[in-house]
Amino acid sequence: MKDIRIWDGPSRPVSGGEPELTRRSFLRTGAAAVGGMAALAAALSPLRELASDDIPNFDQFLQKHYKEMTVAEMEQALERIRKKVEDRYAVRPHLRDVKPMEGVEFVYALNLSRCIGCRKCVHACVAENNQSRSPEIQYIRVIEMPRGTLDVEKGNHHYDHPTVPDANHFYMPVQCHQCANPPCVKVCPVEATWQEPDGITVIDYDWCIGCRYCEAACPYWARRFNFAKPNLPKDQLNPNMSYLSNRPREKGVMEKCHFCLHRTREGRMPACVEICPTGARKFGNVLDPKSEVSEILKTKRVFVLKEEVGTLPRFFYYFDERYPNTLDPDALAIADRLRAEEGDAYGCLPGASGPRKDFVAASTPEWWNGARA
Amino acid sequence: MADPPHIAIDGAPQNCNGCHQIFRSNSPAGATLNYHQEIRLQHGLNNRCVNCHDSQNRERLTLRDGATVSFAETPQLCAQCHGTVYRDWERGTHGKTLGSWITNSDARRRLSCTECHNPHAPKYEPYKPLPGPNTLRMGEQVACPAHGADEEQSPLLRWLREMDPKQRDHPTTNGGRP
Repeated sequence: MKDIRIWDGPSRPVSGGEPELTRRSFLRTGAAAVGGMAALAAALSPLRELASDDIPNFDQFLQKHYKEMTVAEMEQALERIRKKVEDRYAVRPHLRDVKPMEGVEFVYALNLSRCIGCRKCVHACVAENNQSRSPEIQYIRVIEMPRGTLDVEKGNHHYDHPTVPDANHFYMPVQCHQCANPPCVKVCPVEATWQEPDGITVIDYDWCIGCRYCEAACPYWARRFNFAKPNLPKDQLNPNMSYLSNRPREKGVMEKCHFCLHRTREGRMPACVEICPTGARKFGNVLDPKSEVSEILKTKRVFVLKEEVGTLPRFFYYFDERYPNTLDPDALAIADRLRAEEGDAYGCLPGASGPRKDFVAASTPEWWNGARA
Repeated sequence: MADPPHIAIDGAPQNCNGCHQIFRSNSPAGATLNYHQEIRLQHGLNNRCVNCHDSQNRERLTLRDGATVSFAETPQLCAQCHGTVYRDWERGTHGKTLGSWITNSDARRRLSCTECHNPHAPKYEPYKPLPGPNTLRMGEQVACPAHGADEEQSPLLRWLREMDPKQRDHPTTNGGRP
């Protein structure tokens, strides 16, 4: 009678003979092998979904960092990208590597008194910069904020009024602030993102490894990640593109606003400035004292978002002192409500006759009173 | 703005004085108009035609001191009341600039007052906003009624699930338990 083993433990070689192959151990080994093959197939399945143009070719694999490429190597890389774009979108792109201009530092200014929250800038940016349409990637967020506060926690991205602006809100668009002290650049482990001499922080999409540290580091939530293969219809491709800005991206790389550098480094305005129907968006060279942004910094009350984190943004918000004006009954009604609810110590609300004297006296430090006297 | 404005009556090009040499109507405030019925005058306290239009020569605009300016020089007219805005416009901190950010570029063009504002009703019309974000991190913030109250709120996870054919018809969030 054959010995029937109840417990089919770890199979050990039986001394003096071949390991015993029971029906159970055979099935177990077989099941493990099948399971292993299935796991391997599952692990490799993303590879099967890759189209032939997703796989980096030899040239792309050996391509150097942007800053280390010679002119000839850059031209070789540009030609490779041109061919890829042509294969994928059936359009020969006007692709080049635009260098920064001498004596230029770009600065952006946005007039919160004028922004009406129409979101035209958001969609002009998407059309200009070849972002993925599905899943959607947008560089600009327009936040609707209740009047009387600058607390972005109270903001709303998803406002859906039939018409804007809504009388009880103001609108604050946020995009990359092109910081002079950019935390996103500091955290990049492979130096795939850096600040250019004209102040624009750029990304080499061929060098980015997709770790998303920069996305976590940015206090303005300005960086976007391509979780999926970008989906851009052929007829919506903008063929005017440059290496560091709006050439089509791949799955797994970061992207963000770059002040439309393929336009602005050739003297043109960014797409969001050109489209803005109210003139709330201002762009220019801060090193030119006659530029609009220089005039704004000189004559307007500007502020930067999250000043306390020390990023030194090149993106300034400002208000017109005159608006909302005292002839606007809506604005006066809101001012009255705010004054009743929270007081108007500084006298900034429309219709106010000036700062409350007692408030100034009580809250001003002694040294300041001395300095004024 | 063209100077003087191009107008056509029954398809025939006309100029302002073609009619106004004959009809020397002097600002019939609020009176029934036979022409210019399309004009909706909502300019605050400024509610008389000849406050801005010259009563003698309708192809010119009139300043408060009696001088006249052409239609191309509208900012000088507006500046009489809107001084602070005019100051901002001269500096470039109000208004819209097209073409180039380079201050001495030929491609640069500053829009004048009436290219953005309707002079008869200068307040901006309300706009219909373009659609809001439906990005992976900022998708629609609504719970799907079919998936119950505990439905995954992350648009990213929701999008990934929609992309996955295996889970597309199996929208459970409880790990497959019955």
